[in-house]
Amino acid sequence: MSVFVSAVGFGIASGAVIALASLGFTLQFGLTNTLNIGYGSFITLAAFIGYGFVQLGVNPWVTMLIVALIMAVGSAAYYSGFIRSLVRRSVGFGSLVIATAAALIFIEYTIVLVAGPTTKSYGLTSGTTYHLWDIVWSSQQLAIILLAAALVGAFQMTLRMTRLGRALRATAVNRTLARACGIRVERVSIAAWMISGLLSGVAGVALAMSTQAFTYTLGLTFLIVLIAAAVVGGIGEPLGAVAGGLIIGLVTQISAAYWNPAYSDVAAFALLIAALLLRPTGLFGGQARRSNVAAVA
Amino acid sequence: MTALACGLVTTTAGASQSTLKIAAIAPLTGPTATLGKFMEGPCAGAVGVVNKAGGVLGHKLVCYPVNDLGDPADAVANVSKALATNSNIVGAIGLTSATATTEVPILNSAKVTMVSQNGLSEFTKRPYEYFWRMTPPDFDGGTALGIAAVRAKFKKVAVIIQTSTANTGTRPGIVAALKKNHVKITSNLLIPGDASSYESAVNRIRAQKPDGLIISADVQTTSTLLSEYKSLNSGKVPPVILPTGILGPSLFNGVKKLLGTAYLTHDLQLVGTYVNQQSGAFKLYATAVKHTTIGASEASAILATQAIGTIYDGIIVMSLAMDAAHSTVPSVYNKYMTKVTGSHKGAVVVHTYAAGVKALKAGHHISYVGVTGPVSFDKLHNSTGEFATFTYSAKGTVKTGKIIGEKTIQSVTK
Repeated sequence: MSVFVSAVGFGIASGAVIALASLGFTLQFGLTNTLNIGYGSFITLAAFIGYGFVQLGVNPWVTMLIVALIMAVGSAAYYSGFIRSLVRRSVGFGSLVIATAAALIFIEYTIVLVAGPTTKSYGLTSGTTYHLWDIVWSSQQLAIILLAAALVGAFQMTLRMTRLGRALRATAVNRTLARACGIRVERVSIAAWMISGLLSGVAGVALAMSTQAFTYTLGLTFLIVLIAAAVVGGIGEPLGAVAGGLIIGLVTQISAAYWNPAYSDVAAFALLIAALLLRPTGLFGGQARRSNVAAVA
Repeated sequence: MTALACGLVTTTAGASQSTLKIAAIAPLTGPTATLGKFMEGPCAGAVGVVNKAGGVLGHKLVCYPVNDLGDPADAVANVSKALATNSNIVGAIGLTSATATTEVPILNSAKVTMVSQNGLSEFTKRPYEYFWRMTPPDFDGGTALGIAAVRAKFKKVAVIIQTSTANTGTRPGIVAALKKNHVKITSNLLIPGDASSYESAVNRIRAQKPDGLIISADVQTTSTLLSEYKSLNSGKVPPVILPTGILGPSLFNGVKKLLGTAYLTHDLQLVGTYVNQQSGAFKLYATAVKHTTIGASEASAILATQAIGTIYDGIIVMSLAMDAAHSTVPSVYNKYMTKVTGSHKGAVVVHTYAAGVKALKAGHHISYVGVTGPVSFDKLHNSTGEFATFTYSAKGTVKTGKIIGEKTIQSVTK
């Protein structure tokens, strides 16, 4: 039993980072129907920008805040300058996905050009260890879990209680109707990408802190997991992405505890396939998007 | 762009057909880019030594980097392209474990002599005419890791292996050595590389209370494992044995920050193939490497790692073979690789390229004994050597410890 409870604790810790990242990913898809493969490079970029600040002696948590803000602006610029331009040229959904994959490669190799191919490390210790029954969390993990919970809570409150939140929900449901109702959907989309960029910034720095050492392939390795989390929860559904992230984190850690750790990702993707077979729209009934791209003009 | 690639741009811009290229096939980018980066010094050092002695039959040598990204699919495309667009590639080095299976047949078909740095067991079973290797098989490397654990007097060892092509051979070697010496294996786990967390696996391992760890994984994976072990085990991490393949500033700095200098210098051992740093050949090699563009800490790591020294020796042997054959065409000089190495009656032992050329011009047979010691190719063109343990000093230099001899390895492998 203690093995199981310990694994649950580890799963929550790793799931928190996956949840943050997949929330940002699903937000982009939910609002603008863009399956942004380049999102993996956002996480890598965040980790490397954070590395620069940490090397300068900036506190890691302050670094996380700075990087989140930088990535928020960067993500909005990526959407406005790249995604929106392609959509206005009537690029189809499939071609847009390929274009974002190209963007991922471009960004990651730019990182290699600037920072070099060798492994980087924030050089942080995980801090004091806390025991809750058989759950073991370091102070760093606990902080990340609480931060993730706070960000998800803040996002949910924004969605439910603010004008921006209502506009986000309306745009996600029916972009055309939202525009007809006077909602400035373009600004709402940019706001969504800024929020998603902010989340990718937090997730990237958190991931770099957790893995102790990383290379430019950090985001690419993580991308498959966070897409799986978003799909399991229901693509386009924020709460679904969070639930999916936690579930993926739990499944990988529990399977590693009892089975061969080399196949922990296999367990997670087997769960993904099972979830899709049983509930194709995901756990939270995410909207099943068609292949046509929403108009952005 | 690596310095080697930049060097290439500078060199080949003025290269003529009289310049001969040694293709340095390695990952220059990606998670294993450290390997490619480490090859820069020995490659540039070796061609520098050859060119200083007048080149090969009047031709200058240059290193020509070919980035295989550590991926077989990319390797096929890039190696094929390099061969198709360069008629003056006369030899190749590199071809590491992750990509050798795809690269060796291509180069063999193109009749390009290659000295490979891979350790895959398949090359101890299957012959390739143009394939030569001075790096021991991965099974022997694993055996050496196990023997190091025995010598460190570990009674209970946890074996943690990252899933990879090279580790297919390493893992059975470790297990064989430990079992033969009656050391208890508390855990024998395969883990995926570069995951964000290994806590459940670490929890399983530490529950068995091993008094030592053997980890064969890349730097990122190793660092994450050690960090999580420390976090879950009240700040304590048992002594660890690692392969020299991950030796470098990233490992040194990472472990120092995480576990402190005392752990780094007393509880961390690396195991790899042995280089006699007192030999004349080594001194020339060290001078050559230090005169290249790499930094001091990387030079120190390079000079301690025999697998990298085989690059230097490989280029020297190929150059001497060309001189002995009076030809730079691989299909002609390839068979001379055994004529300039191994033990031959009346052969003059040489330790440098210049001495080898002088002896050949004087009409002598030669036997090259290089950085990595005597070179003696068997029927499948493999020449193995000895292993040793290595430790870090507080300043990051690497010290050679005890030698693990060929007979000790063979007592397990045979």
